[in-house]
Amino acid sequence: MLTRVGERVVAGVVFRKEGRKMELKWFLWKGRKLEIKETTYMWRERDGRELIHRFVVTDGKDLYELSYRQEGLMWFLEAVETDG
Amino acid sequence: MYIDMDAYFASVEQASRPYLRGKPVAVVGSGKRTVIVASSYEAKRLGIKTGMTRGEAIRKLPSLVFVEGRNNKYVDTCVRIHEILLRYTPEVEICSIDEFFADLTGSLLLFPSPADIAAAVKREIGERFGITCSVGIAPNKLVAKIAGEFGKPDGLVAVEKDDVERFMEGLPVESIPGIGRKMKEALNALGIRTCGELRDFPVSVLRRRFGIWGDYLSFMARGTDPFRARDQGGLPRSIGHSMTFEKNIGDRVVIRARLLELSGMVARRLRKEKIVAKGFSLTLRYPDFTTLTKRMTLPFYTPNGRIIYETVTALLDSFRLKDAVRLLGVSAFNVRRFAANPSLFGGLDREERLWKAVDDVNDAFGECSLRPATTLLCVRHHWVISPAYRPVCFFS
Ligand SMILES: [Mg+2]
Repeated sequence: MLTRVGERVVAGVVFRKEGRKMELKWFLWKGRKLEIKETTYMWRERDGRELIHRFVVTDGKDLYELSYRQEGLMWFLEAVETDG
Repeated sequence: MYIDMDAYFASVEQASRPYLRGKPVAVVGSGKRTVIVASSYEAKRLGIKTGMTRGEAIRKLPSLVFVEGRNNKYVDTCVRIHEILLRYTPEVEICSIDEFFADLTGSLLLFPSPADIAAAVKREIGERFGITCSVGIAPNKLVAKIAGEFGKPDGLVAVEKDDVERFMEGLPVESIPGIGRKMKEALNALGIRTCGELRDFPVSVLRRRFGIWGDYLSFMARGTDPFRARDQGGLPRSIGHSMTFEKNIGDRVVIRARLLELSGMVARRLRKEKIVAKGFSLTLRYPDFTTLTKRMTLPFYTPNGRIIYETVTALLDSFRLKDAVRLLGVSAFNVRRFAANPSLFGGLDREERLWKAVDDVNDAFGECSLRPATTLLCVRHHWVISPAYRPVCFFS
């Protein structure tokens, strides 16, 4: 089941030296720290002038879609998807 | 080298959502009335086809999982795959959102063989996106595409120059791109089932039956590409946009408002690609899927949205609508490069400048930030990307 969230979150990211890659490690949501096991997909979108990076990640249980708005340097939790 | 992603949209969704892997998945648009635009191999095997409605598909396969398509995701992945290919050759042509031709002629000084390049590309696409693709390698685009299709899914088929005829010989005639059901039936009626039989058939008979296509068929059957010199500097043959509506529209005022919006979209694309057109067409589809197209050719070339709008509304006026419409489309054809100032009539210069300003605002703040007020008559539509869509590189 897909639930839209659209809330700002705090995220922990590692910027790798090799390649232009961002790796999401964790994010804080509702007072919980969710550890990210895997990033399953990432893509970029344009919203006018602004570049948005979108990530689908999993904590091993549920899927989360996060977005990073380059202009405001802000992370959002866009949606949560639970299987079934 | 021809590269085609396997079940592209569905594979991307399966890669994003691990729980969908191995399951029959159908990608649909975001509206209520959309049809299936792509399905996974698991779904295809069980009879799910592109173009089916949700209802039809559910009846056929109750366990089918629907996911809403995300156009931006597929466009961005396409752009990135293009970037990967550009590392091997500068000659890459994007044919559709999931198909590419890469000319490796010049790359063979740098890489051991085309098959090595293909294997490297397949590996990288698999690692980065978690999807598979099929690759065909051959001396020309025609045979490369046929080889790519032949190896589907996850294939790599290389056909050497001397093996082309032998490779083609046993294939059914419908493996040749462009031979649809009708043409296949016509050929079958002549006793031609394989490319080998088509090759050996007297070309004079084919010519009498199919005109110039008879000659092309004979060429293609032996693996010669008759369309080699077709590309005229990357000029598209037509530029069009269409919309399918949530609710059928019967009101001509609303139809006109939609045509204004569509004309604006077409004009914007013309301006973006720096081309002008003199032919314009209006397509409409009734709820029973009957589809009609009318065309008009103007005595001059133009990129102007207002002229496009006036042309297509004139075409609309020549229709006696027998029902409400579910789809409207506007396209421009008969195009050429924009050379000098195309405004032939006085008074348009100001409008050209206005549209230029509108384009700039939309570039900065997103599509449809600024548009004619008449188009507000309509609620925002949902749209599904066309498989023939080619992304413009906006990430450079
Ligand atoms: Mg494909």
